[in-house]
Amino acid sequence: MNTSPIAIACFLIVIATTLVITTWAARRSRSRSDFYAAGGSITGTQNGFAIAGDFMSASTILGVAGFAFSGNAESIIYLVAPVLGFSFVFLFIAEPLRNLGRYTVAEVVALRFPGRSVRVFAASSSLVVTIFYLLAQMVGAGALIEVLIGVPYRIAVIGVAFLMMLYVFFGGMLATTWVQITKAALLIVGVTIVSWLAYRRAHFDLDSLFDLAGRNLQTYTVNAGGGNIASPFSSVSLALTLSLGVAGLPHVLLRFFTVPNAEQARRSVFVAMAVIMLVFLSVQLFLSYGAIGFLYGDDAFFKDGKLLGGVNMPVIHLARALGGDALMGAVAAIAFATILAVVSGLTLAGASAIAHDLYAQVHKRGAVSEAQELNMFRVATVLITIVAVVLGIVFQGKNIAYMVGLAFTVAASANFPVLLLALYWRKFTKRAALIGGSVGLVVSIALIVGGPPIWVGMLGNRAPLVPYSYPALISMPIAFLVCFVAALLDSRANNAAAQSRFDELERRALIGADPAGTAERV
Amino acid sequence: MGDTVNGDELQSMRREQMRLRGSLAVVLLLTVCVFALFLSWLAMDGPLQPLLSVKVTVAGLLIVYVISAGTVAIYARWIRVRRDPLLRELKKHGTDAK
Repeated sequence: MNTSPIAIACFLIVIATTLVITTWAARRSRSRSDFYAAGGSITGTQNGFAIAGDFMSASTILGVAGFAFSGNAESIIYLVAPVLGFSFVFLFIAEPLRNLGRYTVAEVVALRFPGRSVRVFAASSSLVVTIFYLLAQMVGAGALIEVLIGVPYRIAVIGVAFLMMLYVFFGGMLATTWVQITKAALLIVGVTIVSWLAYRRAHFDLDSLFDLAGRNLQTYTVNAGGGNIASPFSSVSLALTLSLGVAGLPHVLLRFFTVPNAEQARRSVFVAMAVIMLVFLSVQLFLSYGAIGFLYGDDAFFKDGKLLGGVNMPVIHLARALGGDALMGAVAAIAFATILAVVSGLTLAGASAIAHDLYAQVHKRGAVSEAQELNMFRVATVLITIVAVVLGIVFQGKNIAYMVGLAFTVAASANFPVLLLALYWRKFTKRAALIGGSVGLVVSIALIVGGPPIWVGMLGNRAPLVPYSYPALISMPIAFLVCFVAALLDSRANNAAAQSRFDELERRALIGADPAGTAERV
Repeated sequence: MGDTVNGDELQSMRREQMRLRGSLAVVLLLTVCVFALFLSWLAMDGPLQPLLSVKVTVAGLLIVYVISAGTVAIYARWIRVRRDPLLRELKKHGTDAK
């Protein structure tokens, strides 16, 4: 593809805007609370937009449409299951998390089970999920920038990593939040414009758009609408992974620490769900079917039978087909903003886990000044940036929507069971949390590595060790089962002190840490 | 006043809250599993492939969104109508806590 000056201008505007936000936030971020949780100053509506901005990654508009474009119907599950997942978050996680924690998810689990071991597990598990997710975003960012403005993939990855480091290093959660809010607003505007243009191109007749897309799918794709969900196991497994995995994603969950009370936490989920549903519906109805309908058969977008720029580019090409270089540049810049917003949220989650949990609470046993902890936060930010660059280069060319699936699998199998049972099951014990969570983590990673995409696709073996691409339907029940069995075998740990601690946790989850503020907080 | 939220009425409300959460969670889990199996059936044995049977798929997607939003709305209303007034009352007057 030729480098478009308009695309370059749009990219520069996005970068300049985010840097202005970071400068503004850096002047206001001084304390630990500011860096980890924006001082609890974000409103529910703002946080809802930020959650939507944090959650809707590059896979939303690039990878999922790419799946649909190549005839894989699992794209539909990617658009449905997370919305259900946010309902789970609303029912079980948002309020207790807000009332019990301050900075990290591991902190909430450690409140139920004091001591270092559980905190080490919870923080490590959060880091694994964060790294998988970050990896997907870096791959998407490198490919996008390479295609659109001609910057070599490696330089593009390094550039994105440098920007995300600046946001988190200087602006902390406040900068990250406003970058995410800006991205969510841009995404809504961009998706709405492309959707309307696609609808207009179809002469305001959805039937004709769907018919055209159907004909093209049958003519041009191998899967013709089936793909990986043809197996009921894979289909249900993917759906559960994406639903319950949301409740274990550290970068999404720690957004609930940024609002002042539980009511605002609830409002956050409401707003986030509304924004996500609006964008997802548009992606499915207009962007995916529009790309399938209008791009296939047009040689301008293909070379040697393959889509220019790779499998993740249908939406970008659709924008060009509908609105020329100007719209393509704008949409590409929005996708770029999307990636920046998500990677900064992920970096912040990872740096918080390292600085607050592993360094301040585990290594230093809490005997650390705020300045020392913030220094470690900045060091961790740089470390995560380096890891993101290395992994982004190693995993060049892989489908990013699948990589997001990997992150969700670990989140659903390791983080979610431990968090849910710690919050709600009286008989759950520290040993059970450690054993069950570790088993969930190890089994999910082992099944992922042994599955077709990595064992065959990446490592070049002839047959997979595990026949399933999405193994959470195996790893998540195993984690829950091990948690239950270990807790029942460890019943002696359920002494009076443990019961009293659970009672206090239940009370605090309901009314918050400060009983005097009950009316306001609940 | 930290101990004043431990009365019988609070316990009853907590049990009610867990029952409601559990019921809604079952609805959500069934919804996601049924929808996934439906798509799989379309892809495998059904008369139409999911991406080709556009109207059926889009209708399914909308139904799932409505169920999802519905569960959230039901739980939010329960909090407003049942839980928050009780906790506000307890805050003001306390209770004959055990």
